[in-house]
Amino acid sequence: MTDTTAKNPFEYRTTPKNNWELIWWAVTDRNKVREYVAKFELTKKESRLHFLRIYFFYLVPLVCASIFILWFIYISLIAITDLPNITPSEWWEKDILADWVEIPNFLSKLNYLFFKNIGITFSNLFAGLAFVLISGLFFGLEGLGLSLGLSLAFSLSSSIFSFFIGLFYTLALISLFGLLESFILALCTSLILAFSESLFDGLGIFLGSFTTLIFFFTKSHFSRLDNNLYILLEGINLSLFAEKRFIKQSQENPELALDFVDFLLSYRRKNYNLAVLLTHTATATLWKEAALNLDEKRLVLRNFKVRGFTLSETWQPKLTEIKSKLLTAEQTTQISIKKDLFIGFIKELEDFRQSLLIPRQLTWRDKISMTRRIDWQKYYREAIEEWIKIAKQKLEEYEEIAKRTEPISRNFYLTGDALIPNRNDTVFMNRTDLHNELTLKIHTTNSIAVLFLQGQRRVGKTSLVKFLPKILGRRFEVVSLDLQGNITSVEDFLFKLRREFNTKFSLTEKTDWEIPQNWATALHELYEYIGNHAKEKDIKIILAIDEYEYLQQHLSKDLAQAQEFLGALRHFSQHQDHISLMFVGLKFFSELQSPNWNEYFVNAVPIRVDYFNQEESFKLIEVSNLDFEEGAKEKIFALTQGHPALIQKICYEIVNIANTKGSKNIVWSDVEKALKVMVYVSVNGVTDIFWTQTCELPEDKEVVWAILEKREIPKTHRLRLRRLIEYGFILENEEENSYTLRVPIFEKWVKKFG
Amino acid sequence: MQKFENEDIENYDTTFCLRPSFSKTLLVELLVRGQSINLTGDTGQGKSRQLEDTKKLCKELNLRVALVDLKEYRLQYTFLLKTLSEQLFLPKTDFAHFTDLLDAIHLQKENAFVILIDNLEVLNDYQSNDKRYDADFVSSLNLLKDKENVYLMCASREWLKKVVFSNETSLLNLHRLTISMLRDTEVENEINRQCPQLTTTHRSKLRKTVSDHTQAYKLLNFLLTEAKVEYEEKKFDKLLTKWLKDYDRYNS
Repeated sequence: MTDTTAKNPFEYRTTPKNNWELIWWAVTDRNKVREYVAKFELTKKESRLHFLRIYFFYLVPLVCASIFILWFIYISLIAITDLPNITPSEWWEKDILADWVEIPNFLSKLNYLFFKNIGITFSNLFAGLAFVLISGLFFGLEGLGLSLGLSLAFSLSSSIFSFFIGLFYTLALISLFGLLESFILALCTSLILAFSESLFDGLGIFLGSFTTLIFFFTKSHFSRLDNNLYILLEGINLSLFAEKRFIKQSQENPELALDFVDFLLSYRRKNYNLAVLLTHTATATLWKEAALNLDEKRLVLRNFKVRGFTLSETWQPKLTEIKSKLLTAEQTTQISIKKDLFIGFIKELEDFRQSLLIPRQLTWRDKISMTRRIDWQKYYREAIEEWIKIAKQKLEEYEEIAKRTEPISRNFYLTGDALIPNRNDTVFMNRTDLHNELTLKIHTTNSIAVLFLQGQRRVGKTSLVKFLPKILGRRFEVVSLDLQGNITSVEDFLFKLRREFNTKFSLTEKTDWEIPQNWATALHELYEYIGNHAKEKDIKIILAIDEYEYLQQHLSKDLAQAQEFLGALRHFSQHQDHISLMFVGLKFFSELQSPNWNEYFVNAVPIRVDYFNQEESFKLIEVSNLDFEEGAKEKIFALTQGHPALIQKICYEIVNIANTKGSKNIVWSDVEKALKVMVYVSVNGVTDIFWTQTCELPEDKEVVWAILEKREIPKTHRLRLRRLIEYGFILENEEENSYTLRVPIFEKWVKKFG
Repeated sequence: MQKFENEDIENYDTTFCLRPSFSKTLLVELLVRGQSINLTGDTGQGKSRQLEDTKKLCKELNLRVALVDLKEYRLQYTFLLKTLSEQLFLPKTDFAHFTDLLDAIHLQKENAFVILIDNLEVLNDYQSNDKRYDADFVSSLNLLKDKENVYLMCASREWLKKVVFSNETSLLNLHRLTISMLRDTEVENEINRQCPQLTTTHRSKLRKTVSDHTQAYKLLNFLLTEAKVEYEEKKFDKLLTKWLKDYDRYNS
């Protein structure tokens, strides 16, 4: 909990609590005494009377008591340590040395020193006090007389209290003249005393002064913004080497620093440079803090016409421009415009940062000044850099929002998943040729019982299967089963196929189907079951088996059963008019051995699922509803050759770009950006699949490289070449007996990453 | 099944998320555009936290959500299936194969499921995984993502297009979404959520320490955990140095 009653460290009271405090002020802050006196508007006589009261009731007892105590400690130390006997004889007067030898013990020595010295000590003390009285009466209460009197009272009181005197002397000097002058004066005094009086006195004064100054420096090292010598003493005009410490604290607590600055500016004229330095540090810190919320209201400049600290005239107009740009951007609701305005705002910040990079020209006086030599501009630079960093993060966020909220174009494209009816209808291209071929074959040929939908990976086979019911219309019912990672055995395949059928027609079996162990028998039962329902409803059922190759791995576990199963499948499909089988996959039947599928399905009707033609490609591109630069769509088609997944990927990114830049106009450079992000990367899900999966053997890769480098293809690789041609990756020019990769993107990708 | 629109997602309250804006982007990709996602990003960027946030968001949308860290289940395949089925509130929870779980999901067409899998790279990283994490498992994931009532998101350090098992390579077709860099405002909000007692200056120092680090979220989380226990305003600088040393020690 914050202590609300905490004392304000910068409170500047000018009414002392008592006269003791008034005396303390006279030593530390004469300005307070002056202001205190001024408040009462005392006449000369009243001022002097007041002084006399303080003099006799406070000052004389204080000085006498303290001097006596110090003096007594001093002579006790000499007596205890037997100082004349252990120090060089030149330091001491001869009669003292002669007497000293005769004195037997400590008490006698103390007694000797007491009476030997008390006269001169107190005569000095009284001389000092008399001087204070005279000067005080002369100057009145306005501080100068008092503080001067104090310092002289101490300094004149006794030469033998050199060390302690040195402490007070220096303190008094500081109150009068400032730290620098005090140090010089103390040094001079000690030298004069050393030469004119005695080395001991000189050393005492010097050590005293030195100790005081050490205290000051030590104190400054531990200075805090709210507790330091600048607050305590008025006369400090020398650096306490605390600047860095103050700067660090200002960065940690800029509000406190500004309070301290206000104090310095109001009451410590000698520390104006420090005040301005800390103002810049604290202000820059406040700017930095404001960056997080881009709070432009806190971008306020505090300018001072102080040598070494003046701000450039260009700063204020720049700052005004920055604020204005930010405000305009934030008040704009349309995300694309907002984003553009924000870019303008960042540019202004960058400009301002550039101007802050110009180094200050330092004069020799700046270089020797502890405050002016500091590169305070760097704090503003750091603050602006923070603003730029946060602003850029904000811009990223706006771009993210733009992509997400799709202010320009809805992003319907999918980059990996199969298309699902009712969700992705917009980007499902009803391939006219394929549609016609499929419907024609299914509708017109009653005897066609096995269809084979073959196509490369990522070409849209699964999407096609999912959309089959829509394509084929009401006369056909499609029961599809994707085998990819979906079956654990042949029995499981049959069970799931039956379940899919039941689900499709909302059929519930009283008991779970007990699958016969023999695969062919099980198939027989399933065919009978499905066939009976189809007959009953007078419909034709298409059993679409997607990723049919997965069945092979389970069939191969029992070759005899597998052959019997495939034979049965062929038999049933030939004799069951109401059921058609549709295998969907990449591999040709001829590629599946043990069992050899080709033996059983030689009469299967192959239907190639290929790339889009130009019209379909354009249609897919135009889903974005963007305005493409003339020729851009043609170029996309030329590069992709209508590869569905590639077009989806490119268009997905193009829509992102359009939404981010807030424009419907798509130029070729946008397409290039999309290609760079989505296609020309080591892994894009299309070309890398071709390279690692389709070109599964080293011979396949060698074939591709030979084509790209226009080399002769080794004769031993002919079968592999033929396979790639059949898959539709390589085009053959029979006239020229040459080969090319069908899709230019594949070519470029292989050259780059293959 | 519930259909989601961009506007709906934009209006969802994601302020509790570490990355509120990115969370919305993710939901748009996942629920509106229907993309199965591979969330990628270096270790320590906060992918797991993003999955947790997504789980909370999806729960608020009344979707059935399961979040599993594959690292925890790499030796216990069936335990993964059990956890998934429990979190998805499937009627049956004991499955021997992933395909059976798929089946159970497939049969609940009226419900939408969100499946979030963390540390997918485990499939590639360890030879000692349960042998049932094989090509079929990846195929099942592929099948899962194509299901109408399933939204799938997996997280991994890099885009996991293929999983290489001892004898074969399996392909995954997930839409890559790279986790966004942790923004200063996001770090600040997280500090305010976890350690509101930190002063402005100390929050700023923490932000700077974190934003310069390659494992921003991991470090942030560590520092905030320490700060919750040890924070003292006057000793912050010393404590921060100590915490950073501890962090390095724990992660070396």
